[in-house]
Amino acid sequence: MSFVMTVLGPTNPAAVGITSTHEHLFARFTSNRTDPDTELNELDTVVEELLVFRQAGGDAIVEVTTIDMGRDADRLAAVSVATGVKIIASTGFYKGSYSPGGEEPLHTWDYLPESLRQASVRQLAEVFISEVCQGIAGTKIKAGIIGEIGTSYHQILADEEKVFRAAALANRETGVPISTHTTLGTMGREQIEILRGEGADLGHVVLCHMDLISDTPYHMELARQGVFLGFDTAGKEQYQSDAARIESIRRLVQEGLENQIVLSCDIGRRSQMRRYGGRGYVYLLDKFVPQLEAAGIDRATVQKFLIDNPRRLLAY
Amino acid sequence: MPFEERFDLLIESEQANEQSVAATRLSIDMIEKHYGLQLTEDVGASLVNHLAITLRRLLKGETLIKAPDIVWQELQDYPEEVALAESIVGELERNLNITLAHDELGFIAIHLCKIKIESGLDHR
Repeated sequence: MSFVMTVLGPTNPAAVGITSTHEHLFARFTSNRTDPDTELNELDTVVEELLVFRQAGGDAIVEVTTIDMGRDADRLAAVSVATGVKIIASTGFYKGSYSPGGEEPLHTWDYLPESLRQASVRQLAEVFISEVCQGIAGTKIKAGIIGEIGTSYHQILADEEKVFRAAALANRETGVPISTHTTLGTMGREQIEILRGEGADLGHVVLCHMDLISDTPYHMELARQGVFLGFDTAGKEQYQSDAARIESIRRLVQEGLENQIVLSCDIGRRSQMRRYGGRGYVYLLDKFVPQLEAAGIDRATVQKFLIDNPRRLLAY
Repeated sequence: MPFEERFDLLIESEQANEQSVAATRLSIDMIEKHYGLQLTEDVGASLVNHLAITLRRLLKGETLIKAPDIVWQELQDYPEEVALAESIVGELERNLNITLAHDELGFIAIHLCKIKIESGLDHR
């Protein structure tokens, strides 16, 4: 029987309710720690956020913080125990530090750790498989997804490709789902090509940040290959308006592709949390979903985005 | 997944132990009697996880999480769950010879609210 692997063990997919599929609870988006906003490390703040999310009907969060972003499995388990919100933890490595236009890199830490820079695809896959089957970093807490593994803006660096191939191998051997980071929505086709080439099951792959590119033919082409599309930066108006996100979703629904859409907010800064004046994880449920429904997307379809589709993505 | 299977997994993963599981079983009995229902994976798993894991942490002397204000705000609407949580905490303290912080009572009551809502017993 299939299951969704949470930080507290396997769960019946039917028991997994409304799910945000791309969030960060504990993470470090800088290595020099000069900007506290880039570090999510406050247990009390996260507990409060998750209780608010749960009060609004939320049941599960896919926490896509990778090894190199400072994932903290013990803390994920602690906040899940306290709040009752199911948390799916990740394994994987994020992306290289290339950034568009040569501006400040999107992150400043080392991508692959020293010990894995010369590793083969097989060796990287073994890291992921171990965290999926045995446990994360010496704990018995198992990863339930590989991600967010990423590619750079309009290009795939050599190490990024290696990580993708390793993730595909791990998916093939364990069934664990994969969550990918596309930089501003680019390189979706190429990501699929690599994953499919290595035999990954595209029905358990989500390409994230698809809402950062308004290109319905592109979205349709990707979705028709069986992957899920993550409209997962809800409320990040500085990158894309919610109106544009919703219009892209509406068009995909018109094309009959509502079974390939999942939603989230991608909270990654302390200032995005409610305690610091941000929108919080609950934004998806108390602000974005009402906007979807106001745009004419019926409740049953929204339930697919929030419940049915995440279950299919996550259960293996 | 039956709770006994869940307990096995929690013990195997070292998140719970026999003592915390035994105390959790007693609490399940109290809750089932109070509400007149049987807890299942769909209704009750989060509380079962919470008790089995938290009690093991407490028995090991680990620090537990402080309940934020939102817990007490929500519980103002659920006096029945607060009272039941007080009974459960009393039983746990007697059985395990421990003292549970007031914050922990809050978290247990919040999980009871979830059970009440998910089992359709919240008619407000």
